[in-house]
Amino acid sequence: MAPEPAMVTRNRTAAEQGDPVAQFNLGNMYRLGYQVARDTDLAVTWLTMAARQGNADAVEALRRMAADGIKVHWDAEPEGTEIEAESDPLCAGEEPPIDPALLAAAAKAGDHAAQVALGNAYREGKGVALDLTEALRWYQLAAEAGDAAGQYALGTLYDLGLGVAQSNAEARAWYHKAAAQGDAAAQFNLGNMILLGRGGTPNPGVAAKWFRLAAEQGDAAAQFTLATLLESGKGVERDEAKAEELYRRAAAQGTAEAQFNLANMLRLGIGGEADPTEAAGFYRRAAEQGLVEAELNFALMLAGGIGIGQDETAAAHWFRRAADKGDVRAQVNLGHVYEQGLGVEPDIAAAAEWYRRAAVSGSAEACFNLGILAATGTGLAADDVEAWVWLSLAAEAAPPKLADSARSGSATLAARLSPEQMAEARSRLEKRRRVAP
Amino acid sequence: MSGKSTSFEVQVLKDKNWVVETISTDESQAKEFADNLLQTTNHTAVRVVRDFQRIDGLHTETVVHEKTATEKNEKDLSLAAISEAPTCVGIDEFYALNARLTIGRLLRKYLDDIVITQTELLHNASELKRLGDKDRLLFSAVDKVSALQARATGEDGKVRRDFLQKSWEAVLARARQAVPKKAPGKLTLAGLMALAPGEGDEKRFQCLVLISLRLLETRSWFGKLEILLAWAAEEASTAADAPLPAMPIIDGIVSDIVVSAQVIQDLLGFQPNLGAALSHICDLAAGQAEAAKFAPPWFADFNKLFAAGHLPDSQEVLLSRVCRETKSTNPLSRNEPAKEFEEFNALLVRVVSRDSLVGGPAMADALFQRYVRFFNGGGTPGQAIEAILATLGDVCRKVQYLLEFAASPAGVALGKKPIDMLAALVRGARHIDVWVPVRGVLPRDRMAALASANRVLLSARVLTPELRTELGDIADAVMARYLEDEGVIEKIDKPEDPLALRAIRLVKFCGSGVLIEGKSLSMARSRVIGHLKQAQFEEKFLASVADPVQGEKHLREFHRLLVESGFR
Repeated sequence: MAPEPAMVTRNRTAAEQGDPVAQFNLGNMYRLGYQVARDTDLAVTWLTMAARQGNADAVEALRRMAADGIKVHWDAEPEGTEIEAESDPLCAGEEPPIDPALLAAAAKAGDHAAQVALGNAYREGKGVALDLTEALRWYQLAAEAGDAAGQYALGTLYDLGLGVAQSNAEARAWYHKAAAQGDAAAQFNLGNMILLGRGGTPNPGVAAKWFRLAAEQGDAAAQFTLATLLESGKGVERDEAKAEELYRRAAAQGTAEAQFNLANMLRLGIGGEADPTEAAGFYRRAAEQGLVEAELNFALMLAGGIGIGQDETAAAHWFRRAADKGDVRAQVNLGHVYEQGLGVEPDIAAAAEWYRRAAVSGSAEACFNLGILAATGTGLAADDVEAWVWLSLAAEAAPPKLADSARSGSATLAARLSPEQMAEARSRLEKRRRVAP
Repeated sequence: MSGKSTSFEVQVLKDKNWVVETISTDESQAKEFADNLLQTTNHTAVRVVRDFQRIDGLHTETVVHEKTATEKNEKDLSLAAISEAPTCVGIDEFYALNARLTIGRLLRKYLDDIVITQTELLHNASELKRLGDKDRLLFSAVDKVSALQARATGEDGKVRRDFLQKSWEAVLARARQAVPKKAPGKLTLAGLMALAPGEGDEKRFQCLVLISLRLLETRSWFGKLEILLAWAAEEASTAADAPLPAMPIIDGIVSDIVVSAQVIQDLLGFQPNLGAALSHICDLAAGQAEAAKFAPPWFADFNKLFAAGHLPDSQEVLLSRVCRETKSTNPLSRNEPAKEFEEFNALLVRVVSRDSLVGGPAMADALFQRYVRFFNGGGTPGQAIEAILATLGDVCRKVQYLLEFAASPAGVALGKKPIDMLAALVRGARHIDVWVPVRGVLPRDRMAALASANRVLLSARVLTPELRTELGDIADAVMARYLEDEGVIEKIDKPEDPLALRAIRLVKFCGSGVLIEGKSLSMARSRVIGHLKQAQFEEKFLASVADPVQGEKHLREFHRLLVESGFR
């Protein structure tokens, strides 16, 4: 029997550990018969698990299967209730179809809005074949006629080097023209270029002025960026109250970074009294949008019962989401969760694996924990050489107290190692140091 | 040219059989006639057959022309899937909101196709007959509704079907009797109402017959709404003592129109996703909406009618739409799946305020169903409620949610659990900081929110009297603690301020409604009484104001406020 492809194994392992994306991937493979034999029952099983975790792709795939006549019951319906399908649903958010011929006619007749819309169509390949040169041409016509939207759009092409050679000077010039006419997106982009010194000298003060203009028009990105300047006092007078207000406005528009920064202010009591309950709410909202720092902080609040009821299972879920994205602190915490069985079944092997991933990324705490596990043969084969290497790395980078423990441990191990083993250990340590981030 | 022995039959396809429609001696005329038939009628195919009579008397038939209406899509006017139909017992109930809402949803495609409201249908004999003649649509509708009603009541399905059929005939007969002798023309609303004969309910019915005739002349939803808005403006400018108030009639027809998803979408204008659209509908139903891009120019006038409370039925229809959409599996953020929770959070915060829950138990239930389906990850209902509560954040909102949820179908199905959760929540909330956020809310609003939570707890029917008192007392104790910890009364009653100012501020505070009838109000009142009891209070009060005339005025104001605030 042929071995299972690595892609399937990888998704299966993660899916079995509860990862909704992996569950969807695996379910979809069974649905399509891709890399595995087609199996609708298994497809429904995995897709259902993903759907129950809110994976929208899985919901869509199940809906398609149901439309094909496959029996699908993924929604966990509480007893005593019946869900009535809306037979005449609202279809908000659907973009009206583009009629390129109509747009082209209006654009040729000199309608600037149509010129920009046609440029957008060419830029995104919607209704017409993607053609950046054509996009540039139409934007240019509108921009040169003084249309702010056209000037902004042309600025983005120069800014990103799309259909034209990248030019900070050109981008700034066009953004400036549009910004002067009150275009919020242009004001934000211009502010960003000035802040970063692209096409000129960095000047946070001038950047803040443009951000303020865009923020007043409700531009969430500008509200967020201006808030960061006000919070840090960079280029403007430090004003935490104003920063909080702007973060709140951007957060209300769904900006995950603003929600995260606001949560930090609320948790730490910056600019006012601390409110861990509200902080946890904002961490959750940012985490749900996939902001890894928020996932970690929300997990930590859940684990400690800070601002929210203690929930180790949920904490483990959020540690995993952040760990999967490579967050070292989350990986260490997840290792701890598995080691102690906090909200999950204790799994020393999984703990060792997460410590290893974090240790490779340079976490001194993970190096120490992994060293101890390797020394005692817990969760992985006992290996004094490997244990010495990890403890030595921990001794070099950990905080003083932990470093002392690591040194003590590595000294004990060193006494147990033969000269050959010691040489091998030193060689591995060197290699580790070289690859360490 | 053809001879006498040749003729051309124009045939149309009816129920899988070719039927001769006409016979012509001219081939091109026959073909033209066939093409015309195909375009102007509902026939799916036409053909022309040449019939040639041979010398031996036998006939030879040849198809010389055949066309199928492939491009013509027969409109699907089938019934919509509904899973409940409120039971009706008398003919009057056929005209009521619930029945019209059910008809509006069940016959959506049909009504959208001919653009008539349920009211127009029920008050116009021709339209009723047209529906009756529409294939098996009426029969299927009666069948469907009777089955749903029989299932809900346990009544025999056939009995229910017979009742509905007879009621239908009665509705039709009533409409036939009411057909006016001549069309009313484009009269004003007052003109139409003056034309209607009869008194009381009969006059109302006759009015609706005339109004329906007028509206039937306009076959566009917005056209009808514009007429209704003009009538509403006319009504607002006429005397309030009209024999028949017109606003409920206008509300009834508007409520028919806003059943349609397409109408709502066109009304709302551009909405980035379903979540935003639902929040916007809540805003409109509350009369707090602002016109979005592409909204009709009269949106603000429409919104004002909701704000003035003139459209309660329409509000109910809109909110029932929000409930059903919330309950459905349609994503709130279809274009950006990562924002699904964000949109849910926005909707949750929009409908669950610190004062009330828009849509009541049905909405609480809908939010729960959505959470379970999208975010619960296979957890238990209890975990889902916990998670919704965590999303709501502060205890004031949580109390509003749990009280409504406890009365919802899902809450009832969970037995005592929602109430137990509520009791545990309130018993554990001993500081105002967990009831209302610490920042971003003014102190006065924090106290008002806590007082509102106390009121809702004390009036909650889902709680036993003992529990109401216990939980209400906790909110009161939290308020009293807040007053003490923050020195709120001391801040209002500053010793360095003139006595008149202190006394008036204090008594205003007592009557502001932000305090709870109990410990907290007693604390503030006792401070007022302390002032009143001091020797020569009135003299000191007057002496604290520089201008004696102003002093007298303030004293009178103080006494008036005292009475208003419940001091005797």
